[in-house]
Amino acid sequence: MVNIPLDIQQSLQRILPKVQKPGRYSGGEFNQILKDWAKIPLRVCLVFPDIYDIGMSNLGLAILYDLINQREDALAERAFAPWLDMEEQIRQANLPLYALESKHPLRDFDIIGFTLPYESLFTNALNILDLAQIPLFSSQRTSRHPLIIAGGHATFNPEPMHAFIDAFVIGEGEEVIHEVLDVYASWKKNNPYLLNDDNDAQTIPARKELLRRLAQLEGVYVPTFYQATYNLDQTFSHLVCSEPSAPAVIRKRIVAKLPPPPEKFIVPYIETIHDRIPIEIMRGCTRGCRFCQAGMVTRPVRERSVGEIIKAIEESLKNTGYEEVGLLSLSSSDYTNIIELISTINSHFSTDYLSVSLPSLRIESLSVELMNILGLARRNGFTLAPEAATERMRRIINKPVSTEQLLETVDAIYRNGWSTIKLYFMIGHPLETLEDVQAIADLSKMVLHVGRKHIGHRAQVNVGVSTFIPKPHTPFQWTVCDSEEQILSKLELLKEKLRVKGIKLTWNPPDATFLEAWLSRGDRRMSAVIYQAWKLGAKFDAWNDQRNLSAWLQAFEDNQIDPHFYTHRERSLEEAFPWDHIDIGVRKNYLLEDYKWSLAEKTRPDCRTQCYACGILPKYNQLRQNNPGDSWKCPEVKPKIQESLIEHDAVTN
Amino acid sequence: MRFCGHLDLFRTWERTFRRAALHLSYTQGFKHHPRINIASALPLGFTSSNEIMDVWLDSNISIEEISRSLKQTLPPGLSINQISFVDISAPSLQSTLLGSEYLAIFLDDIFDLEERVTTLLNQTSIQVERRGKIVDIRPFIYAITRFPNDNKGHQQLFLFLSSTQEKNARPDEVIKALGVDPSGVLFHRQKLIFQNNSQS
Repeated sequence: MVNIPLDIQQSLQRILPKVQKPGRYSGGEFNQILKDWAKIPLRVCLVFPDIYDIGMSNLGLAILYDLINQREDALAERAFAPWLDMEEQIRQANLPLYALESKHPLRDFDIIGFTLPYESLFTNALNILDLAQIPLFSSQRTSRHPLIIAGGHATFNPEPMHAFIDAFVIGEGEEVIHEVLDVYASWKKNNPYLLNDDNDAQTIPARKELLRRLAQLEGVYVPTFYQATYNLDQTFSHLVCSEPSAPAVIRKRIVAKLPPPPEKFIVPYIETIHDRIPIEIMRGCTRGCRFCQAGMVTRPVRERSVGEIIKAIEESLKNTGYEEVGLLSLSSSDYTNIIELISTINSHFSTDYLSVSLPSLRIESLSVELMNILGLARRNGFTLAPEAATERMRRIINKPVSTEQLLETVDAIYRNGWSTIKLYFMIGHPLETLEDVQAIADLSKMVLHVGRKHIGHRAQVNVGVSTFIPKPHTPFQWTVCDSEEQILSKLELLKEKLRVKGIKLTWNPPDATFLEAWLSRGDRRMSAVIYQAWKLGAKFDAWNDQRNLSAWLQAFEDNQIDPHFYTHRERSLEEAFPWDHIDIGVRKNYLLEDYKWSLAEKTRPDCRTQCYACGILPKYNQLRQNNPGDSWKCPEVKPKIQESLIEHDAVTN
Repeated sequence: MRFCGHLDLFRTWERTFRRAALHLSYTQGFKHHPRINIASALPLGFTSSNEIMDVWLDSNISIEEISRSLKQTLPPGLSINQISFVDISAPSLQSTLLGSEYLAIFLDDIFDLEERVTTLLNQTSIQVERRGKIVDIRPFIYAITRFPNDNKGHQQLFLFLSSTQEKNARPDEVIKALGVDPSGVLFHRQKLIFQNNSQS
């Protein structure tokens, strides 16, 4: 049996020449951190369950890698999903999946941390455990096995993956990761013999003891301590907590102040999807688009200062040599000092052939101004995301941009030298009619028309259409997904109406939409479906050319579950959600109120202009108090404010 | 580093110079490209101890300083043998490249290796397929000789092959022609030979 790093290294010598892009599997990049296993007691493997090229562009992974490796008592290494060719090779050679840095098998680590930013990674996570030769089910693992933890946006509804993950870390990981490691370290110290022990009578209770201690950390959810109960009609009723020390409700973790950003990114040899320095300038979003899960779960809005960002860019450029910086946030033009930031970057790095990308710009002339200051290459096109084409629909989804404002922005974009505009829309919004869909075609043509006025037939409009999914923890969580027939007829309409020279239409296939919807809205019964789908060959579900919907449908059938139960059923406002025990800080009643507003086409303005008491402030009152000033976009709180008062305000609003 | 492709290596050098704060000269135009010219693409999976490239810098700076700065920013697996100034009007490296010397290191023993080499060299033509075309690489093989085993006891062959733009043979093609699976062989480029051999 091959199991030590040297053997793995030697096998790789033969295997890697046979696979595509072997640089995915070899490690050894600039800025990689390789610590001595003999001297470090705590070993963590961070896993992004898709290929290297994608995972290496994930900022969350880079942040945790940096934080853990800063500890003297811990090391962090990386692993990704091997592509099909490599999976075949390592299965053939019976190699256990290994971490890139030291080539130690994953099963020799103390903790394996999955980052799950989206749901279509779930089967890959199972496949990785299998390749690592680690039992898939949490219930089959003991203290002889690594602790399997997971975090990321898809875990705001942890239930579908509850059977496979020992502990979920809900919310922001920067602080709680240290607490998890500390708990593990003290537990390991007291159970030194258990890791290699074959005696289940010792290893099972030892694992339970570890989980019990983890469950006491704020933001950590240990699913094994809870049982789900269901109503006679199969709807979810509630969770019963069987462990007295575990909380009934798990509140997400946030950091009071964004910690200094990582500045020493690993520089891959091979090209990755975002081959650049990522700098998060702001977390959260004050706009409150009702379909947007990120906008709800990442509250409150916190900003980094211009000075801190400039310093981070400067240091990371020195450390990496990258030629591009991405300034990341959910809505870049909402960053308070965006003009100052962009101008400073421009003057500071003018001789460096540095390109700066500024995604997520709002539909307003300021965005064009920003792009102009950056002097960006025009060839990439300018992206706008109106999401809906009628003003009525945009009121419903709370993205109230007027068509006039949109066309003015479009005019400015073409006038300033861009020839391509990318427009992102969603179909399937609640209360959407075929007229709203027709309007997408009409609006796209109007945009093209503006372009033609300025640059004639060089004007190009790329229209990207995705389908709305009612995500957990959003005001739309009560709504129903469009049926396949509805989606297809809407897409047909668009395909027919947009057969126009100068317009290119792309869309998400309905099977991708459905799968994501089922996985994001599922309850604990989904675990069996995920397992079965994986058994039937489902993996790389995020890849349009790999997704195997028939395996999923078979898995649902094998478990006698109708997938539409999760997505296509009218439900009462009183029905409990399987994710109700996860507290994102925003009150459920606030979401419900916002849902009702949407049905009345009532918009909720940017909450920087007025606080709507979404619930964040009373819940994170202390953190806000400790961080006064304008790095938070929530109002300041006075020391004596009571939770009940704020709740009361919300009702009168 | 072994699995860094040609374009990846190009980007890696660009970033190494940028880390060293040595101002590369960039092409103007649609997209800026640093003016780095690597003499010969090293196939993926090969190692090498003697690659050559031309690099245009925007600043006037001494060889010592260039060398000192780069040494601090080189990624694992890259090291610098020598740096010298080149006349800006010198012909491109690609156009003057004649041949390459390789070592082939056999992970598995081939008991009749020498016989296979002799048989191969006695052939008047060796047909290989390249992107659907048949090419005779025999004229591009200048020498194949036995090289002492390495310190792990692996058999080694020394290959001297033509590497001009039109007339070239790849060492893995030669190994295949010997009837050996190249995935069990490590390739190491030892030397590049140019028309005016002052550079290597």
